Amino acid sequence: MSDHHHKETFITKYIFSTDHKMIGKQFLITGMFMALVGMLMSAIFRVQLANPGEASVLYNLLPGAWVNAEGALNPDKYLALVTMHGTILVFWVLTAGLSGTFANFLIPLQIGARDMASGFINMLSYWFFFIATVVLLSSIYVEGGPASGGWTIYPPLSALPQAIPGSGTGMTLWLYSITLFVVGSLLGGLNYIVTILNLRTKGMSMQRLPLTVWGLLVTAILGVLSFPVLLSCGLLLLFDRSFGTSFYLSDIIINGEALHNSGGSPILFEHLFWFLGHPEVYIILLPALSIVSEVIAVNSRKPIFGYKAMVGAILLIAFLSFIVWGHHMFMTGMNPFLGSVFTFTTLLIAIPSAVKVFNWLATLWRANIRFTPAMLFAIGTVSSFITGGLTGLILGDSALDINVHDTYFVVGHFHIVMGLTAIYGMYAGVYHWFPKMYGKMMNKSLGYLHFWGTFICAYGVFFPMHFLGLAGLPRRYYTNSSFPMFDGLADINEIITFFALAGAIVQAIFIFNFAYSIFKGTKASKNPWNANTLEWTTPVERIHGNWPGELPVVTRWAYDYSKPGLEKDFAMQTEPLHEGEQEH
Amino acid sequence: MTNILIALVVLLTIAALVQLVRVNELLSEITNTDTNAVTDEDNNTNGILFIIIGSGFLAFVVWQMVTWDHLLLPPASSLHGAEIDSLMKVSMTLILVVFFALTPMLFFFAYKYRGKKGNTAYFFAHNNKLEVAWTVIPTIILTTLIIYGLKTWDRAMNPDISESTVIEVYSKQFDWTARYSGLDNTLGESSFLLVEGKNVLGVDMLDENSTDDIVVREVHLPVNKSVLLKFRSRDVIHSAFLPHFRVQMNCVPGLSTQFAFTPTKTTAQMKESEGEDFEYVLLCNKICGSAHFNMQMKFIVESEEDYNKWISSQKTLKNTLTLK
Amino acid sequence: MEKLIKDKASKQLLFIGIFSISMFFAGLTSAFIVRKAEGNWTEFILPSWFLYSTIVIVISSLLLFPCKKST
Repeated sequence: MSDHHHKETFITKYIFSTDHKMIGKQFLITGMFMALVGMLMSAIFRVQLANPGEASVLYNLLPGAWVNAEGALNPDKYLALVTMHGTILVFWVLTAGLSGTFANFLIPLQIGARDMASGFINMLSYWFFFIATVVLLSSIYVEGGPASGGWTIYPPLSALPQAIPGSGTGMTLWLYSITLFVVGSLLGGLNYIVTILNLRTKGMSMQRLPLTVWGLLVTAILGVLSFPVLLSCGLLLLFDRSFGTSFYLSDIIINGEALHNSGGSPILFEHLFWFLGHPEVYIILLPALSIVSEVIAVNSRKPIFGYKAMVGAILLIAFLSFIVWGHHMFMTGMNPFLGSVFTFTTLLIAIPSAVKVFNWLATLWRANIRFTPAMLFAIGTVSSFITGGLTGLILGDSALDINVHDTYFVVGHFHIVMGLTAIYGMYAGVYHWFPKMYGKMMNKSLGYLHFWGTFICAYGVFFPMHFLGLAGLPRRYYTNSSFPMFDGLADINEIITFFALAGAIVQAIFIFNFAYSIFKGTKASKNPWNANTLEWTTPVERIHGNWPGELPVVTRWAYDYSKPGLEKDFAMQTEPLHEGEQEH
Repeated sequence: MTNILIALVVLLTIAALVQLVRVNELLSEITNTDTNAVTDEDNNTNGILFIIIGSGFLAFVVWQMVTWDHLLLPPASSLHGAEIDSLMKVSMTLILVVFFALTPMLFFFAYKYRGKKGNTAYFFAHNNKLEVAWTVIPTIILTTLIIYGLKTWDRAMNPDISESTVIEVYSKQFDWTARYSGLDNTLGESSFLLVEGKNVLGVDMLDENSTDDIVVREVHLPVNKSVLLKFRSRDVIHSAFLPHFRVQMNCVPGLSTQFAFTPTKTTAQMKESEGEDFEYVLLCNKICGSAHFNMQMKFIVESEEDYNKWISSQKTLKNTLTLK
Repeated sequence: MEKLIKDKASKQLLFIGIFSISMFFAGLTSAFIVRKAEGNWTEFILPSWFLYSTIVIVISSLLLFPCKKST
């Protein structure tokens, strides 16, 4: 029986809630809002790239000081936009918005628990995230503008306000914001791990866990191990900026003034940063891929192929992700032997990734596919993971990286693996679990329109970038018109911007569908997708404590879809084994 | 006024969408069907869309490869660069083969196995043979690729520099300066503390190796002769990117990095094949501030005689920098 | 949630938290070690009283366990 008999006020129900489902939705809404902000920023800087040095109506959205007298965007503010775009999308949307939403929402439901191990710590994790958001957004309006050294904030550029205006107050606020963000993330991660390890209901062994939970567990472990190193990295940067230390700075003359710092190395920063940085991209990817495994199984009416291999792949990817960080640093002048080691480990990580793709294809083979919008996005994820993963083989090879490092080739690669793969995974998750989150159904036709529009526009934006990169075009360039060698690329830039703006507009369909369906959507049934996992056994009107009566008891794994011998094409995890039936 | 109009259009569009969705729902109430249930018709439509749009995507990829091939960098103008280009060809072929095998397979499966009422999926939960096969085969292919790649990397990073001409490339916000080491092929010592006035590079003029150094803003290189570029930075991280030579190396303040290569095609030769406007150029490839997009220095590769003529006409530091 | 599970969970929460903080110090420590080797590093001798007070703190932490047991 539910042990939550507290009286719920508006504040405790919607604002300072300790109910994991509400917290999950808070993460989702904040994440979606930040996604809009980040997307708007990208629309703005894409307009600059297509029409360099010209005025645009979109620049009216920016603080006045960001455009010059002719109405054109200032070059350093272009860098501010790409920095904030990267920061917002990598951390706020794809980490908090993805893990924060689905880990919070799904873990207790899918393992059969009333709530997280500590609802209070969970609530704190959201509010740290919220305050981090406020601090970051406020940095946009300070004098000098927000951080502008790229989301990777390498010193000395990010340490010295004299090097670029955004490295003044804007960068300080960025560091505070990230600290709050990491604390919030860690608080959440602690909860996810402990909840999964301790609060599984009777019968829910680790081997019966849905893949989504495995992915979220491993992601949380990755976060707990790697985010603190970002904190230490940022702390030392703070020291260099504010207390005159020389961890990252040495032998610098800036604005005609010789600085006193000596002995420091920016490469030390890069090592510490990427030690988080690489696991971070798997923190982003693993939940998305695990959601996709779930959505594909449910909508193929077939078990996910190779459950054990999929778990193994998740674990191997997580382990390997800690020993590949150097592939972001091939061109720093590192000892070539070290470069070779990182090339080797990086190409190794392609293997479990390939295994996952083959397993998904095998799941689709001889399936009976039901194309819900979630399923469309899940298939889209597989496509973009194939595309983006393959270009990773070029970038991970140190010799090839010499000519594509920091060019649009890498921009294309990481946008396809993060901007497409992870975001599609997130969309799949929202469409799939919306009925459970809000008790309503999202509109199917709008969902179809949204998917196909996004699929077309997204590939239109990011695939051409590979060619820009192979033509030698560097990233983070305010304009491509300074070098005659890039004059022929102007058309490609226009095509990319066209698809970017079109894609941005298509997302409005989703926002509309999402908002409309919360209030006016058709009421959902308890288990609209005929899925097996435990969350679909809870009542449509959500209660704190999840199940009104006893906790469910689990008797089988999550993937008995179309099992021979059963009359329905699915068997929920709580359904006892029939006479003579063997558990898979 | 424009803003008000834009706001009106947005609001009215939203209102129209709301009405459309409402009409849809009312229709479903009347006909007693669930509009959000996925029907066989939906499955057919989306399955076919995967074929159509999937093929369109693949055609788009091919179109890009064909149309934009001429925009890509020309074949490398350096020895190690040619090896990198071969490695790139092999790697690209591999990933394109895999891409054009798996992507159509995905879209085809989505179409072929689209759901139909009455169909049953095939309960196929695992197969160890398959798992082993598609783990071992990629491992073998990738290991081969890695070995090839590492050999290329080793040769690019550890060439024989005993005969290389040493040239320093100095980066700062927002330009490049080069310093030839002169006849002794040794660069004079330098320190950021010595940067003053005309001594832009902070060269220590008390070091006898400095006297024959030559500072220029445009680099000339003799063809087919190895050159060792040594990089320094004055202020923030920059990156020396010479795309035509397949050379890239970060310039980090506080350290010195280097990259040796041998140019194999003169600028004149490139002008013949790529057009009169062709120039070798050095770009900055690490975000370094507002004018990051415009840090450039021209590189000219010429015959050895032309190079010798040019370098002997340059002034050494002995003549351009005076001691206080 | 039963008290036994809640206690077990709380302990685990604490341990993972401690582990996270250790990773933070691992980052700082590796940065210190690398940086120290580069020079421009002020060497100084910590006053011996720091060592004595550290020992006292450790002993008092250890004494907490028998104290708690006896209540």
